[in-house]
Amino acid sequence: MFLMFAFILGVGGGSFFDISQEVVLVIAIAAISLVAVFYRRGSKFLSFPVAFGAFLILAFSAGVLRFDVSESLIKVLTNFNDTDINLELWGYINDEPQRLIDKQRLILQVKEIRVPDYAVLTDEKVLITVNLYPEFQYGDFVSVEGKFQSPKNFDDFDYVNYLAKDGIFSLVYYPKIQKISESDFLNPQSIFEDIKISAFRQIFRIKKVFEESVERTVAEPNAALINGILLGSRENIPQDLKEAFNKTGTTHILAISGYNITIVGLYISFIFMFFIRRQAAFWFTVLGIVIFTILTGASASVIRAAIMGILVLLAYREGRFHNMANSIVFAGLVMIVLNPKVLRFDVGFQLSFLATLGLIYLAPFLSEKLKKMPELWTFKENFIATLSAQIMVLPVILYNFGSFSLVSLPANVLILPAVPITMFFGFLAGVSGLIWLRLGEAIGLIAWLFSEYEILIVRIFSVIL
Amino acid sequence: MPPKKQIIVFVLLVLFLVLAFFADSKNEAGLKVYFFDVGQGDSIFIETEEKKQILIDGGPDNKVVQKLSEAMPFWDRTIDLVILTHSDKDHILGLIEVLKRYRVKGIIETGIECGKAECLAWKELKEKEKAPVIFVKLGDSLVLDENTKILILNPFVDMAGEKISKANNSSIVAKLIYGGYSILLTGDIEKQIEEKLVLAGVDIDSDYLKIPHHGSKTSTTEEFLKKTSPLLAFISLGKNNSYGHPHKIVIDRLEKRNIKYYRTDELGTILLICRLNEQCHIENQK
Repeated sequence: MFLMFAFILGVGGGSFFDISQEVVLVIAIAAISLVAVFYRRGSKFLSFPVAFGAFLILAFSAGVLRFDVSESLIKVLTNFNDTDINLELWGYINDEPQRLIDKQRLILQVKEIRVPDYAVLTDEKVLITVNLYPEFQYGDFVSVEGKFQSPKNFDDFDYVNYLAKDGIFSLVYYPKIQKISESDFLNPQSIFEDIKISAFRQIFRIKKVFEESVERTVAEPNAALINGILLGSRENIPQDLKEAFNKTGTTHILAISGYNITIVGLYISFIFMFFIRRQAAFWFTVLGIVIFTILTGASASVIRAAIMGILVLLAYREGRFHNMANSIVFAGLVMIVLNPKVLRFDVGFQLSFLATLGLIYLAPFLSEKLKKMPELWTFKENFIATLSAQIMVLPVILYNFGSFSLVSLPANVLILPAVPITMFFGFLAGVSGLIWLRLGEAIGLIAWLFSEYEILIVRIFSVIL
Repeated sequence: MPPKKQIIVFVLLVLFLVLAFFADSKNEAGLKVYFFDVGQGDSIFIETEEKKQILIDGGPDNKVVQKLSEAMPFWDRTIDLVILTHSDKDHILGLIEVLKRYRVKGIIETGIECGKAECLAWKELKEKEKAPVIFVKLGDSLVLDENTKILILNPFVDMAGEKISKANNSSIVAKLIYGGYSILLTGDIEKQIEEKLVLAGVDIDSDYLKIPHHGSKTSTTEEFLKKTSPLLAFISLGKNNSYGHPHKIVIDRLEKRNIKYYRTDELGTILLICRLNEQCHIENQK
């Protein structure tokens, strides 16, 4: 246990490895730590499948993370940037389209560069800005014709590196764009790609249907806020409100962290426990979290948060936090080994990790203190979990989001209790709005009320500054 | 949380809901006309004294959604009537998002064919929404409530199903009448239709005028202004727009006649409030 902490501190202390070393280290340290975990466990049988399961999940996530890094290394198109050449590119839309107030932003996975008589095969990404209509969806096959350019930095924003992180080195504004059929391609997509496209297409469609339902049932800007809190989609939140969140150090509620996922998980398990046995409910909850993770776009940071969230729920199920501690710290450790940068630069990781530690060490202490409080289904459990997680993450939140710590402390303390309630009613409004609009609208009023409270707090505190 | 507290919370929530619905029926008596600041385009929102809500055009992007939620109470997810004057981008675009988000009870338009991407999206949503669509022409009128009605002054003939290359002159021109007040809403009509209205002797005389086509020099002719003889005028346009609207010649014509004008690019959203037996007044909400 202490060894693991020591290692984490070691990484935090400084040295970033280069890749070949890293791979070796991963294997070595994973093996050593695994032994360490089981050594501490001794003969406790129950924890074996738990730790093993955690390891499997981590191995999977490792694969995903590595995949992200190794993607898009081909760079043919940059040669045509900022020239007078009109390029015709064929490909498919490889991310959820961003619908802004006056335009759509699409990421095109370019597969073919078309010239009158033949096509050059490639596999890279470009960023496309088009009008609001026609609407494009993830997985649409399109042809795009226009003059491409290199990204340029804004006054105080490193746009070039921001896009490079996602493997984008060319962009085009308002090109000629047309939907085409997959069968028109010279070289058909691989089976793997086809499966990926059709799976994500469905997922993003569900997400869109849900988000639009929230938008129908709740007035703006609250609907945008609720979609932000629930699914991490921030693009519809008005700029001035976004700035108010930034100023008051409360932006983190609009990002998917282990905290959000734990809340989602607790809600799901709460619902399932009405219908089925506790044990079975747990697995449905895990499934729910996996679906939720994919709905939010399954970025590396959300996957990390989901793993943390699942481990926390596991701890809940076992009801023995101290036994879980080793597994969770171990999970954190492996994540750090995989990508040492998360420890310092990934605030989402820090929040997830600290919230988890809060649940392990602080929650039992709090529940001891609050013995007299009645149970009320799982409300007490929720309250203690939320409170202990919040206390732990507060320093990180203050450090990262609040350059004005004076305001962000009271703002966070006032806002955070409303977040799970907003999530709950926002989700309920969205779902019931799909079944019966008027019911959704009625529930939407409650969601509106709590989100309005959050907006009010944020606005008040941002004005005080 | 002890059970008692839970009950209190529940009661408070129910109370809040009841309050919201009751506040809705509260009657403030009066007509409100908002000229939304949606940039280079038109979007006009009307609330009658009996809280009937009409949205005329949606501006060039989705800003109108934000503006609507500022003008409408948060519990209100219904718009009684949407009027699309014509299908140019700076009028139709925001309406599509409005149709997605609000329950729209009725739609008024000219019915002219349009194959542009935004028209197709609009058409698809109309079918999904199943809101009744009415095609209008000169002579049609709509009674909104006891003291409020809308008279349609253009197009002169039923144009449903027709194909035209330039939509401006097919714009629906509507005269909103509230008690003794009248407001002329002109879409993007140009000189041609202005002359036609004057020559045909259509009653365009109004207290307030929305300047046609964002103050373009192709509109707001001397004759038209003379016949309309407004006290005040409103120009809906975007700051530093690429068309150079409003043109100086239009401003000169207004100033020559001592017609005071309000511009959305300078003032933001402009709100005209009229109460029966009282002077109308203007508020602007930047």
